Amino acid sequence: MVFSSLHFLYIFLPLVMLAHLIAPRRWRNGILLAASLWFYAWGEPVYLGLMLFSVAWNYVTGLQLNAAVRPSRRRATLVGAVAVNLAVLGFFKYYGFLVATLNGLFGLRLPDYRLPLPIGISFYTFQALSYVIDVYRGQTPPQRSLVDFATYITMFPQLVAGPIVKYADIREQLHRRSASLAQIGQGLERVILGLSKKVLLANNLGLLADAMRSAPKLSVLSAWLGAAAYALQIYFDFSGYSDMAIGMGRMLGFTFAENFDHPYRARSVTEFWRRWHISLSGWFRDYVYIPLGGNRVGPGRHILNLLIVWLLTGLWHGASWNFALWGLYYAALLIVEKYLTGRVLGKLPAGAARFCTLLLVTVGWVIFSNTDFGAMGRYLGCLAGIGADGFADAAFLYALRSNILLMAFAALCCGPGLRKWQIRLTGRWPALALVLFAALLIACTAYLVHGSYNPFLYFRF
Amino acid sequence: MTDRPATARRPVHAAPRRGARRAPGRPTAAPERRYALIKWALLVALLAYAVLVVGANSARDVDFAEIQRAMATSPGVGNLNALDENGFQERMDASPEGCEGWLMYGSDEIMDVSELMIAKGDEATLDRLEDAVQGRLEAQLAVFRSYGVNQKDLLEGATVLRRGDYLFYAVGEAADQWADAFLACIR
Repeated sequence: MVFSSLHFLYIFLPLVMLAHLIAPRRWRNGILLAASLWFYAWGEPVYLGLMLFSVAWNYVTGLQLNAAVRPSRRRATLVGAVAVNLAVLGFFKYYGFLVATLNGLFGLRLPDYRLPLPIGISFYTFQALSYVIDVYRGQTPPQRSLVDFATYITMFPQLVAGPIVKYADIREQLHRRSASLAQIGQGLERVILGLSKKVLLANNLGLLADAMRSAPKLSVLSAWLGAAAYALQIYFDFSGYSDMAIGMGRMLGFTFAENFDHPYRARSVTEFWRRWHISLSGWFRDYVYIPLGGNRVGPGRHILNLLIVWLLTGLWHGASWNFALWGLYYAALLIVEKYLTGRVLGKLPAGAARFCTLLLVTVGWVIFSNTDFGAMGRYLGCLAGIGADGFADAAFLYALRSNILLMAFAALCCGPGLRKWQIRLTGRWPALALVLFAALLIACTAYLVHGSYNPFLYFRF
Repeated sequence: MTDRPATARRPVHAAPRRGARRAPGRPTAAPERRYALIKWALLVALLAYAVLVVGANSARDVDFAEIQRAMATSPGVGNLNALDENGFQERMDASPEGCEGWLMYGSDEIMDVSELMIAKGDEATLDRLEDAVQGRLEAQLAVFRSYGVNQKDLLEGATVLRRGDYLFYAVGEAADQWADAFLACIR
C-alpha cells in the first residue's frame, strides 16, 4: 500500500485515525501496531516475518543490554545485535548485488537468489540500530513493553520512506501523547500538502524526466531539462512522502522531526546535506561519522572518514554501483569544499553559490538515476555537449513549451516563499484554508482516479 | 557531514561501573542468560525463514523449450497467437534482445486483453522487461479504463512474477492456471 493510493487515503487512513481517536489511551499503541502490520502485509505479506524478527530481536537485545552486568558482555551483546541487524539487511538487500559483482569480476558461479527487496527494510533496520546503540550508550532506557517497541519499529507513517525516527525522540510520545482537533487539522493539512507534492508535481515532472531519458537522441538543453525535471521530481516525491509521514504522525499525536529544509536553496554541498534527508544524514553523523572520529582528526583520516560515510550513504540508497559512485561523488565534493573551495564559495554572491550547488546536485541525480553505467555516461556526455544532438532541438522546444508552467511553479515551490504566503493568507482568512486544501485533495483524487503513472522513487530503499 | 557541537549528554541509564557493588534489585546473570537463549531461538527461526523465502523465490534452471511445451498446452493458450519478435516489440514497446529464451502469446481481438509472456535472462534484461510490462499494463489500463469493465478488471488482476532468471507476465481469465503451469516447470 502506498500513501498516494485511493485505498490508503479513503479507507485505511480514515479507519485507523477514527479507531485511534476513539480508543481508550492504553489501547492506542495496540491499534497503531495492528494498523501498521496490516499496512505492511498489504504489499509484503512474506516479509512481515522479517519485520517481526527485527522487532523481537532488538526488543530482547534492549532488555539484555540492561541486564548485562559486565561491560565486556554489554559490548559483545551490542556487537552481536548490530552484526545480526546488518546481516539481515545485507542478505535481503545486498546479497544479489554482491553475488552478481563477484560472479562478474571473478567468473564465479555463486547462486544468485534475486530476492525481492523487503519494503522499508533500510528504514526500520536503521531505527532498530539507533535504539540498541542508544540503550548501550545509556542514552535511553530499554523499552519494556513489546507492544510499544513494536509500535515504534513498525509505525506505518514512516515505515516506507522515513523519516528515520530515533527512539529517544519519541519515547515519551509512545507513552503519553494526545492529538487535539487543531493538531489533527494541522496534520491533515500537511498530509494533503505532501500528497499534492507527490501526485500533482512529482508524477508530472516524472513524465518529463522519463521522456527525456528514453529519447533516442538528446540535445544539450534537452538533457539539462530532463535532469532538472528529475531533480525536481525526486525532491517533491520524497519530501511529499515525508510531509505525509509528518502530517499523519501529528494526527496520531507524534512529533516527527523535519526531513527537508528547502535543500535546493543550499549555498554549498555541505549545506545541501544539512537540508536534504536530514534524518539520514543525522543517523550517519551520530552512529558512523562521529564514532570514526568525525573532523577532529588529521586531514588524511578525516578524508577517509568522509569516504567511508559517503560510500555507505550511497549504498544505503540502493544495491547498485551507481549509488556507490553517487556517494563517492558527494564525498569528493565535500572534501574539495572543505579543503579547497570552501572560502571561495563563502565569498560568492548567494545566487551564484546556489546556482553552482544546484548544478552539482543535478549532475549527482544523473548518477543516482542511472543504474546502467553506459546510459549514465551517455547522459552525462550530453550534459557536457559530448555526443549530444546539437545544443537545442525541436524536441527541447516542444518539451519546454509544454512544461514551462509546471517547471516554473515547481521551482517556486522549492523555496519557502509560497508556503509562507499561504500560511499568512489562510491565517487571515481561515475559510480560505478549507477551500484551498479541499481543492488540492479533489485535484489529487481526480489525478489518482484517472492517471496511471504513480511511481515512488524511494521504494527501493 | 559536520560534527555536532560537543554536548555533555548525561546518560539516563549509564552502564554499571566495573567493580561496582550490585545494589539490591540490580539485574543478575540469570535474565541475561534467558535473553541469550531467546535470541538463539530467534536466530534459528530467522534461518528457517530465510531458507523458506529463498526456496519460494528461486527457480530451477530448465530448458526453455520445456516451458514452451508446458505453456502451449495450458488451457486457453491455444486461443491466442504465438507472437514473433515484431509482435513482442509492438506490444511491449521493448525488444526481447538479450533473453536466453522468451515466449509471448496475444489475441488478435481488439477487445481481448489476454496476454502471456515469459522471458529468461540476466538481471538487467529482466529489469528492462519488467519495466516494459509495467508500461504495457499502464497503457492498456489507460485504453480500457473508461469503457471496458471486464478488461479493466483483468488488467488490474495481471500476474507478474519474478523467479530466479525468469519473468512471467499474464493477463486473462486463465492467468492463474498459466502461472501454476509455469511454476510447476521451474520448481
